[in-house]
Amino acid sequence: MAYPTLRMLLSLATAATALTGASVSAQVPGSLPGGLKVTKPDARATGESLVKTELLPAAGLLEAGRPFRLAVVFHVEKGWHTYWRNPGDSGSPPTIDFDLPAGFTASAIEFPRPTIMDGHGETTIGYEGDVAFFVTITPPATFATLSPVPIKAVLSWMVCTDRCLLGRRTVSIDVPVAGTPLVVSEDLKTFHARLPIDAASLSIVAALDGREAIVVEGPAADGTSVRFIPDQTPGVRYGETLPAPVIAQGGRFRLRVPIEVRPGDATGKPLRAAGLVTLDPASGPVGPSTEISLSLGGTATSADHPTPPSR
Amino acid sequence: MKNLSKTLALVVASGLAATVAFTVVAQNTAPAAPAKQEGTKESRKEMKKEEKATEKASRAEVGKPAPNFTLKTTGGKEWSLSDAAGKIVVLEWCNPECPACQRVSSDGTVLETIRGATEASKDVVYVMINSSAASTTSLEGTAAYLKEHKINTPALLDSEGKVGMMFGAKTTPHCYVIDSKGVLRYQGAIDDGNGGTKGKMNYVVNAVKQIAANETVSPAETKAYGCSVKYKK
Repeated sequence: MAYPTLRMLLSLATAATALTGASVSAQVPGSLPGGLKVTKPDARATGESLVKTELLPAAGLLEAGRPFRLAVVFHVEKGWHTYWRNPGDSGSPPTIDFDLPAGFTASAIEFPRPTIMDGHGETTIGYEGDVAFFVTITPPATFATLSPVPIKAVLSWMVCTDRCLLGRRTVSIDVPVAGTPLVVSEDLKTFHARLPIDAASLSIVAALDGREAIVVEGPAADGTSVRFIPDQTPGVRYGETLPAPVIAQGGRFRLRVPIEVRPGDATGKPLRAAGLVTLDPASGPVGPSTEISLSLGGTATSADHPTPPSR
Repeated sequence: MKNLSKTLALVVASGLAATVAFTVVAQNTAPAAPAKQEGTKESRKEMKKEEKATEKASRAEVGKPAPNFTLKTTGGKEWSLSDAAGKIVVLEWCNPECPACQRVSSDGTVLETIRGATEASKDVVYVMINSSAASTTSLEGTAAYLKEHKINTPALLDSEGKVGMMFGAKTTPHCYVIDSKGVLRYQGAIDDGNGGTKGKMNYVVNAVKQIAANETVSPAETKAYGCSVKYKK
């Protein structure tokens, strides 16, 4: 039995994206009630026209019980940006709602390392230009069929420049069962390389200093800038939108981020301090990043983000 | 002469506001920094430092009296926070050009918030504030926008953005709930949704209910989502 090649899959995914099309959820300023006048040249842009989307296989092989990765790629119009899971002072992160066959489950979105964007007295965290978000799909322990598995997802996003627009689109893909490894394309590899890696592989250790601070320590080349980008964790505050970085010296770094715990603001969720630790060498390309998640029950836990499948 | 009248009016307004237990730190009444010689780098730095300190001192903070302010409504009338003394006040920063505001207005979230708040307490005043002075179309379109969405509340134009900055409003929508004693009790998102999706829990209605029941407001602070406030550049 012949299985579709990756190229065919990509074409199918692109076609599906185009066919399912846009259901416009945001009004453009030019069409606002009240007769507002807009003179900007891109006034007719919509959230959908600014962001082309693709749902692609990213890694793995679809076999019973074996997790594999899908990528949601945003091709974003130049000059516009989308957001990380904590957008910073303003913005809104993208959402992906999957419609999966029975027995399949999807992980939370795996966000690649974001960029810090400063401007007009505010700090936002996100992605300038194209970006890929990853999701790990876990099939059930057994399959009843060898037919390709249909996966559908509703994507929504906020895209901003000096103004913002919302976009929403349904994308779908048919993933073949076994036989054809879902190889990561060259384009996706770039985005894939920006995913956080396991803290242990960087010999980084994170712990709580009581309920006063997070302390992250580890080896790093002198001059490396180490930064903590906080998550949105209800009931835990990190002072500034973006705590100040530290510079590694003597082959090590120690980052202490003061926190303020307010259980009353936790909205019933477990109290935890979490975020992304990024390491940037003094020169050269951006360095690695790793997730930190510490339970405020008093015990340090490993990152509670999904364990990624092998790349 | 005109300036003198303004000053006198502000002094009277300040006195009145103080009697109704609001802390009067309006943008116009903040104490002026002592005059310094301009020109040197150090003096400019010093002045900026003092400006920042004054700004920080007058910044709204949950658990503390909300700073009073006076702004003009879209109809041209003056509206002061102190006018609503004895009532629960909900301030919602909005910008007709922001899709997150359009979302909360068009999907019924704002009307449900107003209804939920007024059901929880008879004495609730819901006020919209537009500090998006970087866009004149946003300011000009405020009244028509609210009419279009059948939102019948006072709408204030913060054309200098000073009140927005005094409250630390970062996004549209960004909400604040002030109790009948003038104390800021909640600040943050209108609900637990996001820019494009309606939430399940309405934080503003929750805060008003808890204030009306004389309870601790929980959550008292959440992360507001939406577009940045387009302050005057």
